[in-house]
Amino acid sequence: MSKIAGLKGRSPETYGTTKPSGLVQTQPVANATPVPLTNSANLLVPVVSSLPKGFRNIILFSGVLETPSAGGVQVEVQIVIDSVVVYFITVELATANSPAPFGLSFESAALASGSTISIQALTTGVGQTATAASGSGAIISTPT
Amino acid sequence: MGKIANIHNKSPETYPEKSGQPTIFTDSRLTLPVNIFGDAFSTSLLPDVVASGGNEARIIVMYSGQLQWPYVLVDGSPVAGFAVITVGIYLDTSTTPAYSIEVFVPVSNISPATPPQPVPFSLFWETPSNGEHTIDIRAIWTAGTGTTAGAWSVNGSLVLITTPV
Repeated sequence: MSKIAGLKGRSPETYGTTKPSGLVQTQPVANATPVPLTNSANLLVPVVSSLPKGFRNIILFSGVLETPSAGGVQVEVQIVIDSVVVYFITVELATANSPAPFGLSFESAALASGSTISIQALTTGVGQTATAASGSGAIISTPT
Repeated sequence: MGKIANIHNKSPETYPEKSGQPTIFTDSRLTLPVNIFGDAFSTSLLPDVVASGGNEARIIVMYSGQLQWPYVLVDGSPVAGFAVITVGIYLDTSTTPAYSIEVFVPVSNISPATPPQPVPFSLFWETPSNGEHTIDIRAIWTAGTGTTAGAWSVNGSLVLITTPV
């Protein structure tokens, strides 16, 4: 069968089906359940694993931190990809029972098959406690 | 079966699949620590400005980071004092931010002493019209105790999404 110029990738009979791999994909991530923090804790349970191979991922996440302690408590909120902290911010909880909002935005490199994304948080002082709550965000996966 | 030119996406029997091309473009940067000093000139928080957008596209700008270690100058030396820092998104060569917020940074230690009392903040904004722009994130000391001084910006992350309109 002859081919028509300028139709490459557009004729399913001649050139096969074009895969929809170039499409942007999004997925919400959220955890309304308060998460106690001492050692590192996942703010998303389970971690995000349904990621398209070879896509970059824009990770957006917001939430609130709070501590019952009167003294200042610092919390580190991390974006973790395949057990590697790729981006983090620290938040000072200066006053007891006073919610401190935070937000993270980060873009990953293209990820391999089977990669995972998690949002983790931990208090940076020994014995300090805090709580993360109202976590919500989204992952925007874009082709490379 | 023969094909007819110029009917791509118009004949479900012959051309049922869409091409699946990407509809957005993205870019991103992480920042190094930056000392924001003074109220005369704003200070860039990025390692370099980022060109993005196009004739038929808008740009969604997203930035997250933290401010800490506010200080004032007393006899030329930094002393702990609170600060209000204005952080904004700047387009091209404009000296006025297209969008900005003010962040209160309470009194803490002087860099590099700890704890720095970090205050997180985020910016989300979309350009109101199509066009190519250079994007910068800049900050300026706005108010505080005593003599004009500043604070530090650390752990910044910029993400740009260019969307066709």
